[in-house]
Amino acid sequence: MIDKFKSAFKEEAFELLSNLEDIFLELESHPLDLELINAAFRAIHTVKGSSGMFGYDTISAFTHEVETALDHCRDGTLSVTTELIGLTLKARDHIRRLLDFEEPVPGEIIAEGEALLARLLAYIAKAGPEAMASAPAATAATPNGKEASAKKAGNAPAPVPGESETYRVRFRPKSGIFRDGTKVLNLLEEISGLGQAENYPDTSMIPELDSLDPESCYCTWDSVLTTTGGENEIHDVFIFVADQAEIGIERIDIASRINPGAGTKRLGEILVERGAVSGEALREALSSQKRLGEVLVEKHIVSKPQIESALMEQEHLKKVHERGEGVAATIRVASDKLDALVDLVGELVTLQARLQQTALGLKDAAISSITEQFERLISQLRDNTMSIRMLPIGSTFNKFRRVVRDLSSELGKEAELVAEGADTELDKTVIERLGDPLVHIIRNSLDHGIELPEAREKAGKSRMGTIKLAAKHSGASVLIQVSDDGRGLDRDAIRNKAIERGLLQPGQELQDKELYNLIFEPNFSTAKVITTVSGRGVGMDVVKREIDLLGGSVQLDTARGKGMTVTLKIPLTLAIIDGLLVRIDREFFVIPLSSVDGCIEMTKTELSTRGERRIIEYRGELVPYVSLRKHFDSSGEEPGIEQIVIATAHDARVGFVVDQVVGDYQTVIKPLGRMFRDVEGISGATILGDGTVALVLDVNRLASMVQREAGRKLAAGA
Amino acid sequence: MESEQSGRYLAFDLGGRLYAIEVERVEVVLESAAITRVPRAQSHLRGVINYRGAVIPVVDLRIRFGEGETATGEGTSIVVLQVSYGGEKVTIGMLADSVREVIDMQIDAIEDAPRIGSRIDDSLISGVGEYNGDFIVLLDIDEAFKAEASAEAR
Repeated sequence: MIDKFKSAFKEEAFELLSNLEDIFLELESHPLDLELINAAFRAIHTVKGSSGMFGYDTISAFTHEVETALDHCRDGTLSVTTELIGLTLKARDHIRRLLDFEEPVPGEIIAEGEALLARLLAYIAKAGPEAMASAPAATAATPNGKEASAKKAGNAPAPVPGESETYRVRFRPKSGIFRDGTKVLNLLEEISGLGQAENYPDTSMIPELDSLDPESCYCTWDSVLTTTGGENEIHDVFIFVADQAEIGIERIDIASRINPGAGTKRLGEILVERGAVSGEALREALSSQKRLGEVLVEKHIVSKPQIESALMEQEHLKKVHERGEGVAATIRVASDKLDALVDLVGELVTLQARLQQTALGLKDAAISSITEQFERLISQLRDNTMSIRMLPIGSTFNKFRRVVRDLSSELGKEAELVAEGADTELDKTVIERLGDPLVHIIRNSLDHGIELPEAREKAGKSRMGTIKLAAKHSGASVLIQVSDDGRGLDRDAIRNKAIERGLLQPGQELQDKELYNLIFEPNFSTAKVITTVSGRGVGMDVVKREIDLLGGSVQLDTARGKGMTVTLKIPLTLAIIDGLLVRIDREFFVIPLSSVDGCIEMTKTELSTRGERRIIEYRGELVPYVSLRKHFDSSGEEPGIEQIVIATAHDARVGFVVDQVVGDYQTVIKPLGRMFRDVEGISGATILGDGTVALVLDVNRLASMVQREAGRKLAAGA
Repeated sequence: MESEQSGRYLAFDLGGRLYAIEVERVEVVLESAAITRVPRAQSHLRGVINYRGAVIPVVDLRIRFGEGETATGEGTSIVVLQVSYGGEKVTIGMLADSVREVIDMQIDAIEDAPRIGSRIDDSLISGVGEYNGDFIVLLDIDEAFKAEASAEAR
């Protein structure tokens, strides 16, 4: 029983720590964002409380000190710096490591933690002297800290101070405010900085241009702010302009929080509360058919800006409300339960194929109709189940942000990671296997692509390099692009290296694309100096292999001096796919439908006139093809008319000659197992309706094999 | 190694010789199953079959022993059993010309056994016994895959 709670605790802690990493990294770029600091504090506070509760005293004690540091940040006695972020990130990593141990934690790990804390305390002593004086807890070394936190953990978790509240802020500056040198924009920015804020300017008072006095202020502002800071913080913003403006600060009672069923406030309620309209006028307006806002404006009861301002508030409250709601709308499920569900659905799909086959043989209308309905349901069930396993790829992006941060400082470079399309969804298993290849690509970009700050300045670029990570859907695939604005690939260096490695003859010319693809060859590196990061030529070939295994493809684009883009094309899922069932002799194969372009027929006579030229015209393009019968050493005679399935592999088309294209097939992919590890061109197997096994083709690998063999044949012939 | 052991074994014919394997390893004996050939796989891997919804390999030990291919047809059985492959338990199907029965017998360790005039590598034999007056060879089936698994690791 305890174990169950412990594992729930760990799961929660992993998630909190992963969030914490995000928050810290975000905080580095927005060091003044109080909301972020509060979020970090809350996360660490929760870890501290629950770790103490489950007997992880070491974690609890360690976390206590980190919490203290964050508390100083909250009360403003310690400012957020890159150095502090570095330390807290390390502390986070340490907590993550501690979670792998049970009490008692090995001495050397504790020692590491104490060393880290010593650095943190030293930093606080240096950067926040006030903090040291006012917080004796910080001076207490780990053993005492342990005691203190253990006490605290016994009680129910204390309410975190600074629960967020929403305020309505009215700012009506007098027209002469500019003459005093007050920057109104700064005030508004300060308000926005306090939390989640929406500002609405009322510009209705601005006169025609000829009567406008440029030194007067005609605008007023309404803001809605959700903050943990409290009312006084808002007053503080306006402290120097109190006699220059009319300031109104009101707390909005979010009824929805007390009574979640009530939903968000209606526009009328807000207007009445604001005193913009009386309840009577509102009721009168409501009796007409038009939208409330329009009616009120038409009747000149309120002005248009007032309506818009109120609508903004409504929108804001809705957002705040939704954020609260979102938590309750999801449930946490162990991932192996999901995997089991996917397996079961897979079995159902297989069984359904059998049912269909049987029904076809029975030729019974009643059974056929049931089978059809059954198929529709199962197909929906399949899609729904697969969608449960879909995760936004953004969950892995944070890891990469950290990689960029750590590696760039190690290399003495300046770089930031910009992510796009973080909410693009992919099967969990695919995301898990994408992590390593992406890390390799990003490291490669940082090491080879991004130049040192001085070199970048000389080249007319900003000191800070940018690595962009973008993901988006494209049919049944996801495109993931990693681009940098570094120096790009060096064509000549790659060429020379290829000749040196014997991959290229000295006189041989290659298309740019083919040449660049050589960096995916094993042990290929043009780095002159071997660093800890790269230069040993491991990496890009690993990327290629992993992506191939996922059934995806890799493409490279580069411009000298401008940067490089690596594009990965990955199938959405690996477990159940739509396939095209084909037959060769008595053997069945499945080609993933996502890579199929089309099918064409080819007669024997056509074949013979073509002779050895294994090329066919398809939509105005010459496409090389391969006979799967020959390639797989199948027995039997070729039929009079063969069919060619045109597929896309590595961004090029290739044709596969088969005896017959049978049709679409929902394919539950089963692994072939380790014994068939060295078999190329087959990515798995599936069970057909009659219970026999069909093999699933690995189109990318097959295409490469075809190319390789064609090249060898050419070399032998020449 | 103990000089003798006794237990329950499954006896089967393969290439005109009698073999035995420990009965605990055997999950089931399939009378017939459609084997799907895997092109370009190692020759002793005859293909894959559907075994209770999973896809498992079918091995032909005769090819592994270098004695030619086992003919598949009437009477050919597939013995589904667990082997240790590179430290992992793997379920495989093994072709047998025919399966006899489960027997209790005593196995003499290989050191004590007379030469049986087999071309089979001694390392694949963990002992010999007597069954109805004939020699019966106890196979060390894990050993048969050891070399392969370690070759893969390399």
